[in-house]
Amino acid sequence: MRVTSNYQSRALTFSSERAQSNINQLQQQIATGKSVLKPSDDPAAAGKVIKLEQSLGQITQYERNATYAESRLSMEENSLAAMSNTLLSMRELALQANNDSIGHKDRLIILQEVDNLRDELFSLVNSKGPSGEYLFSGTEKTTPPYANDSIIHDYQGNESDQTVNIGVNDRIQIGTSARALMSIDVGDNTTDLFSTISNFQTTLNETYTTEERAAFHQSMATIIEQLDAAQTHITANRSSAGSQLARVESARENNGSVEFLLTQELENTQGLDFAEAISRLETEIQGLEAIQASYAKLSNLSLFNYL
Amino acid sequence: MANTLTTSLSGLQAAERAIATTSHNIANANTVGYSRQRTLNTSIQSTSIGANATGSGVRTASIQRVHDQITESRLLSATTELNRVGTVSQMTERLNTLFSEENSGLNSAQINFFNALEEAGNNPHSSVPAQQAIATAETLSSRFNFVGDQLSSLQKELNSDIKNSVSQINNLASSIYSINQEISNLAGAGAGTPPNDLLDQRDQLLQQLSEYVDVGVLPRDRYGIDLTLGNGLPLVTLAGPGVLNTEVNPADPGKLAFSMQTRNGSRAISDPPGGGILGGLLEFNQQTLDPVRQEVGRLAAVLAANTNTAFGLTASNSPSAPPAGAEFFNQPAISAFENAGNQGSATVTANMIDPKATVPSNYKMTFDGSEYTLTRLSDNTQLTGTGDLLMDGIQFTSNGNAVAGDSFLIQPFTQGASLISVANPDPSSLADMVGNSQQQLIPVAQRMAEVQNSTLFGDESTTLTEQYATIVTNVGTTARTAEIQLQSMQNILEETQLNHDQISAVSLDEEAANLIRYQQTYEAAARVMTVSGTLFDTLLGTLNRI
Repeated sequence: MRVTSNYQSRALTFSSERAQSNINQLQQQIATGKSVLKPSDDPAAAGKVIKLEQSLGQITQYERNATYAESRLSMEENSLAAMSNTLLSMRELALQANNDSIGHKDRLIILQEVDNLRDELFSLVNSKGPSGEYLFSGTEKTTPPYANDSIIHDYQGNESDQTVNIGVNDRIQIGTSARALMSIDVGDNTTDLFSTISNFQTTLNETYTTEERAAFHQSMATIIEQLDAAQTHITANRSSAGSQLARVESARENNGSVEFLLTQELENTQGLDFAEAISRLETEIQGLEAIQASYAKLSNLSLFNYL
Repeated sequence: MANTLTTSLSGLQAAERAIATTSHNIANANTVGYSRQRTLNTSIQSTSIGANATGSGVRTASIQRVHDQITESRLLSATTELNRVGTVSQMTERLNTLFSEENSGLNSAQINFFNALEEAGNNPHSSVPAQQAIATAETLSSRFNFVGDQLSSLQKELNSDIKNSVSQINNLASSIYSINQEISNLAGAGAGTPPNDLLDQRDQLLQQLSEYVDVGVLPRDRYGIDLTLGNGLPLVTLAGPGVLNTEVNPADPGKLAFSMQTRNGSRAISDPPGGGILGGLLEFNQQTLDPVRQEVGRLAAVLAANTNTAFGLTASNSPSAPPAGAEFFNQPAISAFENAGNQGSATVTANMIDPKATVPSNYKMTFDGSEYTLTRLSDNTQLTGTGDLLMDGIQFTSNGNAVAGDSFLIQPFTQGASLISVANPDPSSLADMVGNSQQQLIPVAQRMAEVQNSTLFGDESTTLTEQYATIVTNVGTTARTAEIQLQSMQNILEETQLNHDQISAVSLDEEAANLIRYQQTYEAAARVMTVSGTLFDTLLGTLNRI
């Protein structure tokens, strides 16, 4: 083979350019810790990264939604537990007042306690959630369920449910309307808790004659029956909130493990095997050095040096 | 005696010429395109015939360049192919960089937008998440605009690159034509030595021309050549160089059309010349840039259409709810162009009525005097009829009077990514609902967020993200293929170049050895002259003594 003068320099330039471009690519990968810097580095992986990142983005949002739902539901549960206790106290007072040995004066004392319990219940129904929204107004979150008026008990919220996305195809309902919560069904009659309490207050406030005693006991029995019904209703709601909470909890666990898998997958898809990249970099650098060293030696070889 | 003198003189002259040639070679060792030259000597036949007839020296018959036509034309075609592949690779690399997430930012903008919508649905009582949703929509549409604008400026750049290539081709063709003339003149003078250096220069120009376009070389006479373009059009003939022209494409104002100007007038070229930089540019434009623009534009158009449907679905009496049919994004308009040569006054409008049925393609509508024919340009599927035509979820309507032969180009999505924007003022009702109709905000926001999980593209039954991932994978695959082709073509060209150099390039060591050899020949010839002189003196001395 006839080796010409520019053969050597061409061959050197060609192979050192290749080596330098490989070194450059490896350096970028090491600097970013990613093996896929541009779609062409691994086209399939680049597409996969986009889908994985979208799924991860969604999981992150599910997590945020679940955190929100969780704090909402636990606040609802707390409020419902407190309501249940209030009702229990009210029932005890009703039983006390229903006793013949109790006189009007005593009933007035009981009335005071009932007044307090009613206010307590009122404020519980108007409880606010994690970001200042009313818990029991349906989706009218800035409107209190009931206006602070002890006589009129008109529900001001709506009956709409709010659902929150806590996982893939997993929507959970949060928020109950106070109207549903406060309604009492006894037999065929539907009333609401505040009317019952209002009746209770009126009944306690009134004096009655011996002839009227039977009627008094009758009203008290109705009130107690309605309080019991309300208690059952609220307890049921409380346990439903509890089971919703458990669902959120399990959805979060599920999201957590999906997130872990996705992150791992993402890492496998675009992460860099540092050990391998660094050893490849070293090989490339050694190769380049060898090319340069050999050129330095070859360039001294000329017959003209001996003429 | 005198014969010996002339013989050695011829040896001296031949050696001198060889030394001159060697020094020409050494001087041009680094001249690009130079082919080494060598002297071709022939011995001179004796003038007499007979037993004692001796030859009468040496003659330099010619000085020839060492050159192999096959290697040369192999080098030309390898150069053309390398430049085609190199141009495609270089241009695709631009897309590749654009579509890396850190540049386009499309995916994260999309994720943020849909998450913000969910957040707004969770917190209908607070205006911050609703405002945030509008802000992320702005970011998303501006990311689309960025990508769309980059793609359309790439198209402009391509057009100007094409013009530059064409003017380079014209310059080179005209240089080759004039050097051809010079060569013919010199060769015509009948000297024994070919016009070596001019031939080298012409080969060099051919080499440069082959970078731009696929060129065919046809030998004309002893040294002259004719050139044709890859598609058979004559570029350089005895009659003169042809001039390639570009003008705005009458069918598509965004593209260029070609014509060839010769002595016989100008002629439109329907099949543009391929190969080289020019071929690479045209190929990239048609096979990569156009489809990518359509795909990304379709992504924007389909996103806008579906978000708008989810947003404007609520017909409500509430003043702050989105009015029925309200737009969240301005739906990118479909571009339609009348052919510049149309005789009639008709225009065409097109509307997307079923986003899911769309495919990434342009369409052509032609009028034959009674009916319109609609052609899907991606596969030439046709539909003929009068009145509105419906294809791929797009309704095409013609207005005004067309004349037979009129045609129209419809680009449903090419501009889509550049044109999407957040509408004004409808989206603000998202924030207004916070104060006035929270219960409506939840379903609106949730329906809009649901767009991300819906199958929006019927042709591939994919979601927005899946469709985007497909685009990115396609861009990556194209760039990678081009890169691999480029590398293997570089190897091939390198190999061909080395092959060529092996034959034609200067080896300084070889020249040094030749120099010594010719110097020795020269010295020997000079020595013969001395000897011959001495012989003559001896003869004279002898005669004197007589």
